[in-house]
Amino acid sequence: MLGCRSTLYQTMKRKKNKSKNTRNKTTKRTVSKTRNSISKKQESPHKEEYEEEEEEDTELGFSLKTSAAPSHTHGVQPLGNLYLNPGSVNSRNTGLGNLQTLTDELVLDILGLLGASHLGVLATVSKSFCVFANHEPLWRNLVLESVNNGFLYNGSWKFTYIVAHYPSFDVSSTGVSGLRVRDFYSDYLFQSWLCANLEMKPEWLERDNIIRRKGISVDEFVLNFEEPNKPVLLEGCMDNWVAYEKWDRDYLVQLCGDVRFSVGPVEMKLEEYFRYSDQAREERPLYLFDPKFAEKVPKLGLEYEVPMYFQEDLFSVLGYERPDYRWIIIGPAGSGSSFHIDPNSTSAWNAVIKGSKKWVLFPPDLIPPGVHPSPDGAEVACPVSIIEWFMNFYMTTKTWKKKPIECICKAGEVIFVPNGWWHLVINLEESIAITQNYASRRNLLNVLDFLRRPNAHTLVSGTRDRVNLYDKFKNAIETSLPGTIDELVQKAEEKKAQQKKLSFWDSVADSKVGAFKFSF
Amino acid sequence: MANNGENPSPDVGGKTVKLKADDGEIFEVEEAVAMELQTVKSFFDDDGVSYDTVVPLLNVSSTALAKVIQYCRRAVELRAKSGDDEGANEKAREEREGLEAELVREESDEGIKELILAANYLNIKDMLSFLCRAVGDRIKNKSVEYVRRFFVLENDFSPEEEERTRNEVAWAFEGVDAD
Repeated sequence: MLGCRSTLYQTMKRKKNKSKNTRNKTTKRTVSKTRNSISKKQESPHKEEYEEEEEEDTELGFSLKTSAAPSHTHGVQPLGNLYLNPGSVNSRNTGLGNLQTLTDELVLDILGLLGASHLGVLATVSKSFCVFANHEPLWRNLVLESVNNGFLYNGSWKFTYIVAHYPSFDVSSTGVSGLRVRDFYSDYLFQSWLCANLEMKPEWLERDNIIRRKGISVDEFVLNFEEPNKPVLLEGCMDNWVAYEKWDRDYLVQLCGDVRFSVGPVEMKLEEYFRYSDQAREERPLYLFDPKFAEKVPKLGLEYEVPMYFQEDLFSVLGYERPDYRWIIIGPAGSGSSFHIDPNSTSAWNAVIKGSKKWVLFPPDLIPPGVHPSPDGAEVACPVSIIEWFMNFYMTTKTWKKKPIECICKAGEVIFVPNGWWHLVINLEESIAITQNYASRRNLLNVLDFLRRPNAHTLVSGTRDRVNLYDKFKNAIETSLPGTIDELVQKAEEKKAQQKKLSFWDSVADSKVGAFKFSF
Repeated sequence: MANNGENPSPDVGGKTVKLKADDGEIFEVEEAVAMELQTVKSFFDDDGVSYDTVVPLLNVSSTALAKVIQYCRRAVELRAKSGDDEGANEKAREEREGLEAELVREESDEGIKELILAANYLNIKDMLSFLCRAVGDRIKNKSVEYVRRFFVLENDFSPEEEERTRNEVAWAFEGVDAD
């Protein structure tokens, strides 16, 4: 219904690579109501507590990452503190003048349209402008838009920008931390800092209800998981992988440290990426997610094998024209992908080589709380970051009858993500993984349906030739595996007819007597 | 085509929607135009809400609403003109940019701010986009003092704080008007 709404909320395309947004619009933030009391007050069991920022130790009820600053860089406090300080004035407002009635998101949207030097100048207008103009995501956008070949991360995005574009300017004299401002209250900015510095709470990691299997046959896998479209965690598939034995950061840097990989909107050297991931404290860390890793460094492609369950890979009929299908994924703790469904209605497997990942999966017909897909499915409005989703939405799933599937996938384990399933992934520590998407006979019809849709040119992912992919793929399948599609269509229709018959006779049977039922 | 009344009567034959501003003034608007306002669209997307219902827009003044409607009406017309033809598209785009520039040029600083709030509340992406740009344009390359006057605010830095902040961004001050 009607209500205040920040327009330029971040929308996410239904693609695998979430960090490909070149211009990150200011995120719509679900400002949690729990962040409203200081430690002395205990109003309800759900309220988180923290102390005023003057004190060194900010007790939050969450744990902050060990490298986190004890409080917001500039001393930003949440609005709740203002209400408990009668007579206090919010320097955010006085310092914005007649911009003050705009929401934080809008102010940041305006600033987001300005260039770096404009932002720099604005920082000297007032304390409030100083805090806003130093908002790191603004500077991150400026860096990512102005460099194609990667960047040398230098303590903060702002400094990274200055060093890159004003090399003669001496940053060392100024210090990273910046001005501390008193009496600045803003839920949005405070929560932004909080989300960047939070660790995953233990209760978010407790539930592990996925089915685990080791050493099952391909037939068992197809029958029990791929056909019924159920997720499963498979153990022991990587025992023969060279990658499992050898890959770690040192090995990769030695092998290909100066090769450029896809990181969000830029291509950057692996060693530079690690420099960034070591230093950065962000709500949405950049993720290394490269679909051409085996082309760039053939050795990488040779040091792993597709597990036997996933050998049927129908897009291979397209040869070099096939859409992107395999990625190497590297990222620090806190990086990951928020809720999405994999493109083209493919299924996927994800193998953790180093590190560990927390997964949350929802079946196709159950939209995760906090997620708003557009009617045509082209865009998934995911207004919150992964951490914020956990903070604001995770606990609601505890009361649902249909619970999501959750697990922690550790090194050596492979998760099967069935086609159409919503999933969210977060790295619990620095992780290296390989993932592939595929079409097999079990999801081929779904894939074809997807590619055939009228708005295919926006939805279909991983290839430049979107509109023709349906025709090309269908023809290639008919050529290489003649009759397959017809066979599958027939099977599907038989199955539908079966189910109709069964439910008809179910309704006929006398439930009181209960004994006699037709079966086919 | 151009209709200068604050309550323009709708085209014959089209469905209309009634919007109520904060002072109670009712605007009757063609459905296609009303749906440009995503907030209004969501209002009707709910099941069971009939199109006869007056949409209460409590956070929007009638002056702002009138201008929003005027803009959206033109935007819808221009979009109808563009299609597969590259040339027609280009022309429509230029016309729309001209419309935006005109709207912005005429507005006072207070007016722009009021429009931004309205466009935000009503959830009109395109409008919000160019309004934000307009504000940005008005303060680009201006001196710090100019910006303070523009937004009507006081310098609340202490002398040390101001010097420190200034030093941090000394690189940014090339090419800016002197104070």
